[in-house]
Amino acid sequence: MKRALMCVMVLVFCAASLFGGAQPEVDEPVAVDFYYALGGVLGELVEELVAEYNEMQDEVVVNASFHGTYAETANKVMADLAGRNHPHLAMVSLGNVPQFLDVEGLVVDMNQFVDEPEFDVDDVIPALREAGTFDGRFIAMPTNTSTQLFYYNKDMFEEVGLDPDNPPATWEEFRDAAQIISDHGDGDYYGFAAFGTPFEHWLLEYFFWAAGGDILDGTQGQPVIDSPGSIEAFEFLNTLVNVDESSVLVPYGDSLDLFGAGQAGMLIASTGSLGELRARADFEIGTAPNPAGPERAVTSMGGGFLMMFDHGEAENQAAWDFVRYMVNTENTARMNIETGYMPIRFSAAETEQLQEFWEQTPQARAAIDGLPGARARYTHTALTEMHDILARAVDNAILEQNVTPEQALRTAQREAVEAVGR
Amino acid sequence: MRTRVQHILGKDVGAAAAFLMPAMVILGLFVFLPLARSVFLSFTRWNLLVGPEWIGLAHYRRLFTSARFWTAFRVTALFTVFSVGLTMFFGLLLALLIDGVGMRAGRVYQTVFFLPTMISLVILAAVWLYVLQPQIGPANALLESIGLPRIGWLRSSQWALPSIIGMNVWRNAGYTMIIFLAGMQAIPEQLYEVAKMDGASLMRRIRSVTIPLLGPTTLFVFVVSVIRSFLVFTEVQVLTGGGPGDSTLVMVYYIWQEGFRYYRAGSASAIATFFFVFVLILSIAQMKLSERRTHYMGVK
Repeated sequence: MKRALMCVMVLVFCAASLFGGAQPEVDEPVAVDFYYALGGVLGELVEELVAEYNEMQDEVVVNASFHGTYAETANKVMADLAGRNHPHLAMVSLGNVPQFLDVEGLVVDMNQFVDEPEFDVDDVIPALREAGTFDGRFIAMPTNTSTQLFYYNKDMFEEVGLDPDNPPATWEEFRDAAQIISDHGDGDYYGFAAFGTPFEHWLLEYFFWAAGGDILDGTQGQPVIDSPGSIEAFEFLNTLVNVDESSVLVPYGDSLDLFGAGQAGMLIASTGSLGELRARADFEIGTAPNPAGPERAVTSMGGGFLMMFDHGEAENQAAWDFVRYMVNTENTARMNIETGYMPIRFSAAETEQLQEFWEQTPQARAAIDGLPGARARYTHTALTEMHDILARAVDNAILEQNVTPEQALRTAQREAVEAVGR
Repeated sequence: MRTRVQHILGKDVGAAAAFLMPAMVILGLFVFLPLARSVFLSFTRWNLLVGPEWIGLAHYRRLFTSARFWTAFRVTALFTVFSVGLTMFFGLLLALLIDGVGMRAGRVYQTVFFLPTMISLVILAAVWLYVLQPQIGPANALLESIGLPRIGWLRSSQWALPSIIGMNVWRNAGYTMIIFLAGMQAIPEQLYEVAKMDGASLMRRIRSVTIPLLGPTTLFVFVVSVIRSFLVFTEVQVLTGGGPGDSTLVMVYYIWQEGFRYYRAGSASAIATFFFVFVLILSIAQMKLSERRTHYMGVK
């Protein structure tokens, strides 16, 4: 008897909660899950922006969570999409965007939102807007984008007899300057610290493009790693490191260390590393556009973009509201001041805070000036594998010298053709 | 009519089934089902999101023409030969030494040599990453202090695999030693006394009594070490990521890369299935071949 009563009670309770759940609850805020990557100074700012957003309105609650590097975050999103328990928003490296395009219906096209007058899409820098547009669909909103920037040690330039106000503008001048610095230092100085792991491919983009080569053919997306320009560029890099022995190729973090400690005179690194370098260096840092190669002057643009994943109209709208907030004029300006990442809106450059910041920090201004020459980095569904293939070419030809630069690129080309064809 | 099972278990067959159920459910859910699914996936194309789409034997055909697959095979074989050989050699050597110093001191040494086995592999790898750091690591400092040139260790394609083998031997020799020691303690003391009376030297006693009678232990250690070596992954993941070049690309790392870095679950499953069959056949062959040469001290 008791048991039967218990059963009935449980049933009633279940039914009640079932119907209760079905009633529309107007007052509950919409929860939006947001995965972000990288952490550090950038992570602190993201957490700050989320907290302020949740504080200032009561319709949407954003739950931000940190998921490691770009690759780790993309992995997590991939797995969650496969299990259909994906977040509403994720910070994704530009290069990784295409791998999500296969998932029809789960990736939200932001074109339906960006046209609203409040957003003012024309204020967003066109190159960044284009970078986030795939087949006419606006699916990646630039948030923390960066380009490569050429850094040099002005004190060291002076010491070795180079003009600190005239950094090398061509590859010939670049090579000479590296040689002069390393000769002068008598083994203590490197002319140029080139970065390798985990961003080898990002460095190669600059070198290949500057010499008229490429990694993928722009229109077809077919690998052209062994094109003449690419080989010429790879041989130039090899000359600096292994023939002249004026330069060194080390992991990205080590290249910042060498430059920051005054052991390397020149560096190419992300604009997003400016804050860190300024904190470390006890010398005057000069910044300039990347030296022009035989074909063109160029820098590669990449970085973090926000992607939206479908959760039905109401929740998508809520997620969009946060995206709009993240990239409004004020927050865009804050992003540049606190991290060195680009402001993505023209209007941000006119704000008082940013004008003042640039006045005090001319090096940060130089990063912005280089933007018109910036080219969006290549993207591909097989990007990660393409990256690993190029990293092996760098290992084999430049670090180990087991093969010539040309042989390494021919192998890389063969592997890349196989990778994109699968 | 009673079945054979019922005959053996009597009327407790229901209870036996109940006790076995949890283990069967867990094994089935987390071992056999994934295994079957992986074999199925090896005939499909699946990027974790779209598919799986049936493509028959295409992945297997590709494997045999893929340069990286054979590289992974070669690296894994090299790793296994040296890692197993050296681990067993040092494990046996340590066991003999500890057996020789007597119980009390032996206990202390046992603990010391066994310690690395108990520490998390990821932490150990991180420590070795520091030891082998080319500029500031103690390994190069040691080399320099005795007048030898520095070595690139994990950043050199020539030294990366030997470095990982070295770390692996250092870690596993203690485990192997414990098993050898247990085997030695099971050898009857009389045999040594008889050998001594016959005037056998220490070396002779080790060669003619200890080593032959360790046969079953050695077989066990050998088979287990080979399987463990084939499955090496964590060290590679933490220390080299398969590099420089492909110099430390072991098979399991290659499978992981295909499946979870390049999102080709089908291709990864094909490699895994092929490798599973290979290791299975090798293990059976090992047992069969070695069994004939093994003394079981009367228990045959």
